[in-house]
Amino acid sequence: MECVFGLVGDGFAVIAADTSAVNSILVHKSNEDKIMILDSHKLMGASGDMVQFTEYIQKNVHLYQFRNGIPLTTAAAANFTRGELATALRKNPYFVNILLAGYDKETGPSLYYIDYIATLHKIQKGAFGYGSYFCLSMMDRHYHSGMSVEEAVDLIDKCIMEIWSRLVVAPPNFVIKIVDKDGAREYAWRETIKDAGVAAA
Amino acid sequence: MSRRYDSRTTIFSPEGRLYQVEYAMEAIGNAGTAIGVLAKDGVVLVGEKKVTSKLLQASKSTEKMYKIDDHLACAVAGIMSDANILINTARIQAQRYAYAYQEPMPVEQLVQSLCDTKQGYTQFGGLRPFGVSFLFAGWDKNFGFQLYMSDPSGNYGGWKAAAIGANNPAAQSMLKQEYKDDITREEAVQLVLKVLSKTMDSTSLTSDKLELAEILLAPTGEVKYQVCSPDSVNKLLVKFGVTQQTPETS
Repeated sequence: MECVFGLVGDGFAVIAADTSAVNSILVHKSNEDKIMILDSHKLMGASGDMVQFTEYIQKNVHLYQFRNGIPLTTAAAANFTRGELATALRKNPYFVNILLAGYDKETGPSLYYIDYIATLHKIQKGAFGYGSYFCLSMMDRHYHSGMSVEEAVDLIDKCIMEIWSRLVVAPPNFVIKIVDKDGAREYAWRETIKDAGVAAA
Repeated sequence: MSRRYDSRTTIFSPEGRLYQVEYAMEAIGNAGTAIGVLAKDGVVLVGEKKVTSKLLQASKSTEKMYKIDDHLACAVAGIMSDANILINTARIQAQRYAYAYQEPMPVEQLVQSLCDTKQGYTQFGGLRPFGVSFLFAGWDKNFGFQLYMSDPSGNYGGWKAAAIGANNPAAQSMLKQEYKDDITREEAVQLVLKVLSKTMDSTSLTSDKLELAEILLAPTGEVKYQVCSPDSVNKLLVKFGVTQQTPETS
């Protein structure tokens, strides 16, 4: 099952997600990027039926910026996302769980937990999936507010180690993305399996 | 003038004009003046009341000034019943935004949204345009205090000082002469009262003939929309020496 987790540090927020695309017992690929960059200063990590929904949110975030000349705040984007999930919920629900991280100049870094039934919480640390059983416990033990990037990535690595050692069908690879005043970007990968390249025809 | 092109609201005349829109602006030219001035610490709106019978029940409702949302208000000039529809639309749009984003709607976006509605009535549907012009005053965290003016065509602009309704060209030119960029809210109040007194038709200016409202930031950081009570208006009129209309006319 898909693991997405994240936390807020000192002037930044970070999200890690596994990168396996699985269908029943088959692993289609192990380098599927599940953390979408919504705009210059926002990240959306999703688990479940994600591509349709996250692309829809990304395009709406962009449209707002084109129309109005100013970007959405992280809080506004989170509430908009939750609203879309809520509207679809009683008709044709999206089965996505989301962690939305962003950096706003006025309010600094923030992280939002949005689950598939449109629950919205602003949080300091959170996790989805089977991995959450391990991640939340590790974060409860080691998280403190105002962590540096090194400390935060160290905690993320501890969480990944727990998933790898304790989850029966643990995903082999993870991607870590970070957002701070300089923007949203990929930070690192943690891989145990490298997909073989496609041989030339 | 091609009269045969008048009655259909949504077609151009051969000269490329939309007559119904222009006639709507004519209607507004007969309505009570409204003036707005942008200060560095607030926005001031003043409106001339046309209905001043002693029989009128003075209640909490206003004739010229309306609150759209906690951070946004407007002054109207034109057909009141048309204005009510648009004000209601504006209020709904502001709440719809707040529901979706859990944040107050930026002022320009509200103005733009309302103007898009007005524009629709100049292009399709066969209905006449709204006979109202607005002065929108508000505050948002992106651009601070702002003043916008919009007309029946759906055009709008951001202004430092603007006037709509009767004698607005005179008021506008007076504002152009007297406005300074760093004006404070108190100076702005003085300016609008002075300009209104010079452009109003009536012989004397008393508190029952006008409405005065301000958008400002309270010390708590909250945006406040305040309508001045008749007593405070009277005090201001006396303080700024504008109780009598000056004999010279511009």
